[in-house]
Amino acid sequence: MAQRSNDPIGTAVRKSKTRRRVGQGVICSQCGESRAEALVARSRPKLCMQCYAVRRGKKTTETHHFAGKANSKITVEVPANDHRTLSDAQYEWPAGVLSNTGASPLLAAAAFLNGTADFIENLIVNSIRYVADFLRRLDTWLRERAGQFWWRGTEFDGWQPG
Amino acid sequence: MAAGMTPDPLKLAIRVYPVPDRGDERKRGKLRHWRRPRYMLALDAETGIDTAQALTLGSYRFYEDGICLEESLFCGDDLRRADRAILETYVQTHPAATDRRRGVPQLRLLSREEFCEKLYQVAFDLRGLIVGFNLPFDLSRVAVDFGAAKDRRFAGGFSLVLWDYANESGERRINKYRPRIAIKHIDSKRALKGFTGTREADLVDLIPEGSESGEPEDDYKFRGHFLDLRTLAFVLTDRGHTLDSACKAFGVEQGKIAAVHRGDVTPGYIDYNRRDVAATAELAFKLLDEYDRFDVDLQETQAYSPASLGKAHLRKMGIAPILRRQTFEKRYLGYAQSAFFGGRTSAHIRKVPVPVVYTDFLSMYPSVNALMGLWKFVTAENVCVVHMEVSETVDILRTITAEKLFDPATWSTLTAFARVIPSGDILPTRAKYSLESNDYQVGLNYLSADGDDPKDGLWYALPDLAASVLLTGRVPRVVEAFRIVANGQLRTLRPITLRGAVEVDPWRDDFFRKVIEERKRLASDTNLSDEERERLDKALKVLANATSYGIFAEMIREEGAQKIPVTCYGIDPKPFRCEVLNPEHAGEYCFPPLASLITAAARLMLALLERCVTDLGGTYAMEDTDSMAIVATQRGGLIECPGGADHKRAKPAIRALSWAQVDAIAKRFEALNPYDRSAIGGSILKIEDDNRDPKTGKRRQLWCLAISAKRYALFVCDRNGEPALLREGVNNKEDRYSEHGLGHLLNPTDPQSDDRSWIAQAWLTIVRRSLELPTKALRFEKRVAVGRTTVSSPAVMKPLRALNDGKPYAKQIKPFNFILTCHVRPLGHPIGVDPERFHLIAPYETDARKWEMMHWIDQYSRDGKRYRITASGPHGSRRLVRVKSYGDVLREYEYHAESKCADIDGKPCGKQTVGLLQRRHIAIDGFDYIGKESNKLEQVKEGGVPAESDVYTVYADPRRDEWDTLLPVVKRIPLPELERDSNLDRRTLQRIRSGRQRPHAANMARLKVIASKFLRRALP
Repeated sequence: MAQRSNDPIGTAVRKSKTRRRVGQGVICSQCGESRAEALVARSRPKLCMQCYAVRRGKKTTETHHFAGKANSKITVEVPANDHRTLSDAQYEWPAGVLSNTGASPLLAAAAFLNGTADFIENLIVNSIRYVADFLRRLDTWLRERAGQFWWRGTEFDGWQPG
Repeated sequence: MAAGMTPDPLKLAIRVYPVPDRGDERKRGKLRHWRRPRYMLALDAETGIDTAQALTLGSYRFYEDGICLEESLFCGDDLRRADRAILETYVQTHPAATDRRRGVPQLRLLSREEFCEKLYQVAFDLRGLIVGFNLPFDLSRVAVDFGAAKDRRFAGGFSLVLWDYANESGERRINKYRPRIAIKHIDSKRALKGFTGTREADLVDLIPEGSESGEPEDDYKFRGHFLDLRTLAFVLTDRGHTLDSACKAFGVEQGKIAAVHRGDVTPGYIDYNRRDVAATAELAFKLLDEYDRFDVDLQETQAYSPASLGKAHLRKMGIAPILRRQTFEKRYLGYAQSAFFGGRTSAHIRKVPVPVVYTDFLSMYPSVNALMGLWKFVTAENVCVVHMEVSETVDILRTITAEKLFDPATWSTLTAFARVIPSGDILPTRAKYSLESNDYQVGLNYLSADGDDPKDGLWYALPDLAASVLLTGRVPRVVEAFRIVANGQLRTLRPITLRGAVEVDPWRDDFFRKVIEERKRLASDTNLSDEERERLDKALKVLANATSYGIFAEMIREEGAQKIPVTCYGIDPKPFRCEVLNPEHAGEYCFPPLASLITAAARLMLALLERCVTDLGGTYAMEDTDSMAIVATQRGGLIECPGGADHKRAKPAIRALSWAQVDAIAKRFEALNPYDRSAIGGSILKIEDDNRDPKTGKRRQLWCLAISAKRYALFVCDRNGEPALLREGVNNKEDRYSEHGLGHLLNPTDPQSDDRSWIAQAWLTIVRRSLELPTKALRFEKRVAVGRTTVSSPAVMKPLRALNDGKPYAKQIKPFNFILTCHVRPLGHPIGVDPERFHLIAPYETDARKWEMMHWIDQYSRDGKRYRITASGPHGSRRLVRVKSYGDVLREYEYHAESKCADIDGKPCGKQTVGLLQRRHIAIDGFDYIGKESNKLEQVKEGGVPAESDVYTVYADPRRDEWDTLLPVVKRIPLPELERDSNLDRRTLQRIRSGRQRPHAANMARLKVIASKFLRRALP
């Protein structure tokens, strides 16, 4: 989420500390989740929130305050890993929007819009980009096993671009 | 010995190989998880021009992956309201120079405290790179307090407090849960910097960098990544830079702009500061880019000198330090260390301008390395000692002639050391040649030992003994000798590519030779851009110099408050033990046999040149490590010169060689060219470009005026006989007048200016006087000669403490502030002080008119005694000190004696000596073991440390303690006589005579003279 931060140093510190706590270059040993926010710092082996919840027999979803607690009581049920990412993204909102200490209706509306944008972005990353990433990895897998031009002579031959 | 010459008894100083009890070889810290941080904060602070040099304003830029995300200004806590208003208006009317898409567009104004919070976040929380040019100065501007560093690594340095807080009652308190920043000054280009430990560190702060587990480690301390660009520029170029010169050298587009600094805040001055930060950041990227090309396993924040880079390359080639990959008997290290001397440098014709041809050896140290084949020792599986028979050593020396030395094969036979009993041999000697200068100098003199006892023999590297044979025609009396031999080759060797361009295979290439060859090949490589060629050329030059000598001689001085027991290896087979305050330990690649052989071989090369010149009846004006100014004219002939053996118009004269003769000598050195002739053809003795007119390329007549070692000037004379110094950009590629001994003084016409042309002006006056041409008095002659130094350590700060008492930090004299220093004229000391322990310093003041009205502080007095100064009158009084004016300094400079040489009558060269000098005859009158000579000498030169005696470590060998023989004589001398002659009080003398007190070195010397007088009287 490469949006402009009002406090780039604060943002970098938060992300850096999160990454340091879980370890550099570490992913979930079960599902391959790589987002530092979603990993459980002291788990052994390293697990993400969802896999950690599965191991402990808990549910893998959490309720997310879509516009922040100060702006609305509305929550949505999201996967635990996404909840971490979405909550972290809320810190990037312009100063005062998340906390909305004066209960301004306009700031609350702004929070809703920010929350929506974050949610859509998360959706894109986790669904559409996820599929794109899956296809790329599958292509690599097939090249290793069936050769550089694995699709030739198969029913996928016609899918070749150009 | 020449007939009628009585040798002067002198106490010599010999280098010792010390091994402190806590271990001589420290392991290099394990490099863990180093990866350059993604984040960087570049900063620069501006200060007032008053004595406190307190923060006025500053700015920083924060970068992520090279993209600027934030830029802000910050200001001092006690900034005037009007100045603050200017800053506030400025930030409202100027945008930040950040990335358009991702950066914060607004420029903000932060308080010092808010800025420090940002600094903490980036430096400590984010573990980012903190970048500045002269960081110690900037960091001490934003600090709130300081103290002496307690961490052993930073002993002798400062610890700065940057983070404080207001308690419930509003009082400022130091935040003990945050680290301090410890800074230990090394020299003007380098300082160790790092975070200290913290109280109750957060768990996340205990996770090591790059940790894959994310597990905190209890003993982990994050030290920070402080990158001083002044240091990195030095590492990459082997020369000191200002921000401006570094920006120019590395092609920074947004370079520094000039500004007149009056200490007030103006929009123009804010622009200037922001531009400095922009230049600093761009320079950082350029320097890091250049650094990355070396691709070595060394953090850029840990690279402190070109030697660091050189050592990293050796490691990369799989070459471990010799002393860490094998055992090597330490007594041989002691022998070799005692045979270590620096380069040969002296004036030979003093204060008489003579026509010369200026010659210089091509890459002297790499060349002698290659000639002696020393690379095979660096890469050997094992270096061992082989004892040589005395007869074998003598046989080698007996065959030494100039012809033999022109055979390159001879040089590889000289990798040996011998203990000799000097008897009029010409050998390097380190001694205090004059009481006035009171520092150790290395001279090449006729040396004689007192007795015939082999135990009193001294160790010398064989090239030094060969030089003696060459110059005297006699073989010294050898009593013991050994050779070092290289066996096999390391199996760990790996080829590398230097700076991504030059491949070196340590199995088959001689590294030193290869680097020099490739440097020369580059000059004709048309595939490279001019810029790249220049960079690569500089890089190879730095690497060649860094690896060819210094790293083998590196000794590291430890600073401490307590004496440490040390085992010392000297000239005797058995070591001795003593306790010293600041012992040294060997550097990572230190190997004294190589260091001693390299410098000895360079001296032999100069001796060979001297022999070639004197064989033709010629002489030289001066020599300096790898260069010599040979007296020569186009056609040769006699030149009047006091002390000369020839005569011209009934006056003593010397013979000038012809240019053709000098060329022929240079041609002879072609035989010693160790390089691939396709890359480097011709002789290794170069007739320097200075000898040619830069415009026409035609040979021109140079003149040389030498005063003493490293004090000389080259100049040309026009048809009317008017001299013009060789000056960069005027009539030469480089300045050729020395700044040695003057460089530390402020520009007398504009103390704030870095312009050094006043030194050229002074030299021209000296030259004109020597040519008996009319001179004008220099405008600045009567002004107080004042130097600038920095408060580099708590010891320098100590006498200034009284000035800081009761003041807030901003008003105090802070660490790394500039201070003024001046030098007392002889007899100018106030009544009652010890001239040896008296040195004046004062808070920094740029207005020269105030210097004589200010209070100056004696650095040595416990209570910070204050004095006024004057540059007129004959002497000082109780509270008035007569200090040197620029005129005094220049007169002293002009008459500085070359005391390691003798005049034509054999007397030590004095101030009035002119003409041809000769070697002194020295009788060994005992010796002291000392540590390295270059400790803090830069500070001595600047005036930050008053005397050399404060920077040498003397290792007393109890077995050679002359006090044991002196004490019985002192006891026999009547007490009233002792009291009268020694100037010591009765009680002190009683304590000394009873053995309860050992006299100080100066008092010991005084007692020695009294005792010898007494003995002369007492003996029949």
